[in-house]
Amino acid sequence: MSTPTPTIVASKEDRDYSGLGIKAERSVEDIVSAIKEKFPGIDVKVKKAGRIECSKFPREKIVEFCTFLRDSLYFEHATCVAGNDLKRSWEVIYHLSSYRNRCMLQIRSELPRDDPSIDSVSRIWGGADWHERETYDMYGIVFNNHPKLERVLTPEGTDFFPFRKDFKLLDHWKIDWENKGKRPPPQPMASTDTRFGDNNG
Amino acid sequence: MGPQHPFTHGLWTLKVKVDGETIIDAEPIIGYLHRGFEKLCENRNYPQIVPICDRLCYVASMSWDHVYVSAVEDTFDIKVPVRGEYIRVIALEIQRIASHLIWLASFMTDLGNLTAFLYAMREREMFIDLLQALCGARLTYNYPRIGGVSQDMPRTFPRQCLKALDLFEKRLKEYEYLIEESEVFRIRSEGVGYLRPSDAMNLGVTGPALRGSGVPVDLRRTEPYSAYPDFDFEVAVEKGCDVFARYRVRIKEMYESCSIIRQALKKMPPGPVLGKVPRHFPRGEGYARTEDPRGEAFFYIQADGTDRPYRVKIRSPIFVTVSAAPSILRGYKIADVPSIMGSLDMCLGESDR
Repeated sequence: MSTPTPTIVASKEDRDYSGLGIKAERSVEDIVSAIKEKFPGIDVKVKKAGRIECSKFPREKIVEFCTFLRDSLYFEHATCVAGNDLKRSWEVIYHLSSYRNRCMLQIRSELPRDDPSIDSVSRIWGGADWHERETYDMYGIVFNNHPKLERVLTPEGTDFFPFRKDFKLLDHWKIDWENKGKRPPPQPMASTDTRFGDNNG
Repeated sequence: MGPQHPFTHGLWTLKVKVDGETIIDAEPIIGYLHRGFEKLCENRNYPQIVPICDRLCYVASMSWDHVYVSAVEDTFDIKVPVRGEYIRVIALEIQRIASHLIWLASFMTDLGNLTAFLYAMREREMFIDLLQALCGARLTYNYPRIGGVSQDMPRTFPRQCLKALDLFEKRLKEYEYLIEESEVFRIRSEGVGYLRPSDAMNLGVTGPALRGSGVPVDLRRTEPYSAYPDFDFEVAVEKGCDVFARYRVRIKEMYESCSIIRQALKKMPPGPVLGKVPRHFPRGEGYARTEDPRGEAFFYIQADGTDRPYRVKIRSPIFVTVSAAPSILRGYKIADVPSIMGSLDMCLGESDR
């Protein structure tokens, strides 16, 4: 089989980025109007200088919307993908930034409680890959079409999602780590340690 | 390779798939240091989170304290006095130099240059002493507060600082000569670990690794925060896209940090250092992002009206950079792994959280 050899490519073969970020090419208002033109039903507004907010985003459109953002509005960088447990529903929060336009866009998308799944944007930005894995790891939110949706921070075989609000904090004392992190059936606490307040977390 | 391997500088594993000596694929495995930091924050009130932010990254604690307090200030619209911002900038830049020096020390050890290791650690001591004069602690500072900093700088601080900077700038030139004239270092760093600029942007690589690929993005310049708009400095960019370029970017940044500290000491306005902070925190959300020594640090806070945050999300630069490692490593030899991964400046405290 052929071995790939490292090749040094002169930087002119790639795009020249030396003028990037010196001044914003499009203003924030301009970007908002461009989004409204393409996606009329979406709640987009300018929060403060350089910050755009987009709340209650419908989850079916996320890939289409993000592709549009990257290709037409130069959002080259996915800063963060975060999950959240709103108790009645789930939420995924995207923070996307544009070096060229010097602004940041926040998308909040709510997912129903019984079906925490949304399409993955890791094919659009490679940087979102591990953030999505982490969100799955901590909240159990499933990202469809993700290349490798596995645990990243907790050990392999963990069968709970620690950042959910219904996860009791002191439960991790009872976890049998020798046995691949399996949680024993619930039983009353033998310890009377009250260092962390009441025993219910 | 790992989790206990000399090149890892912390606990993490790199699974490498090889054909002979050539790396075909790699997969980093992290999480050995996971402490559930974000969940921990949900159970503490706002001022109580500052000291545990120190533990996010044990070599650049100040910058993590700062990004947390600026996120809280953004959420609740708290104003910081100008003098407070200036002192923060000085502390951050001292921290940046100290962090880059510890990177230089560990990177040079990987490449067999033990002399530079000892020199870099010795210089770092000067900056640790400066931070000790500023806030009393050497590693976990707990210095920035919501609305400013905890105390004003001592009266002798500017003189001590300038003395250290003079000495450091003179010595850094010698170290550059010592390191770069070494044939072994040039062979192991030039043309190794090529990262295309467009790949770097798409994979979310930030900080010196991105600037080493010729993308002039520095949040201090492109999205100025704190008192950075007042200072005149250059963004360190190199077009080499390899390990040597990342090394050069960090060296240049240390010089720039020195110049920023000098300007800040010169322009330092009088006044209070801690602003007014409300007792009760309303509902709201906010975020802040800053240029950490390692890249783009980001803190997102959702407040639900109680004294504790409802949700805290931390974006660690190394968490994303290490996920891009396979695409940098592919095609190089096993012996290049320490120099490539060393040039990314791993810190596991912040990536595992």
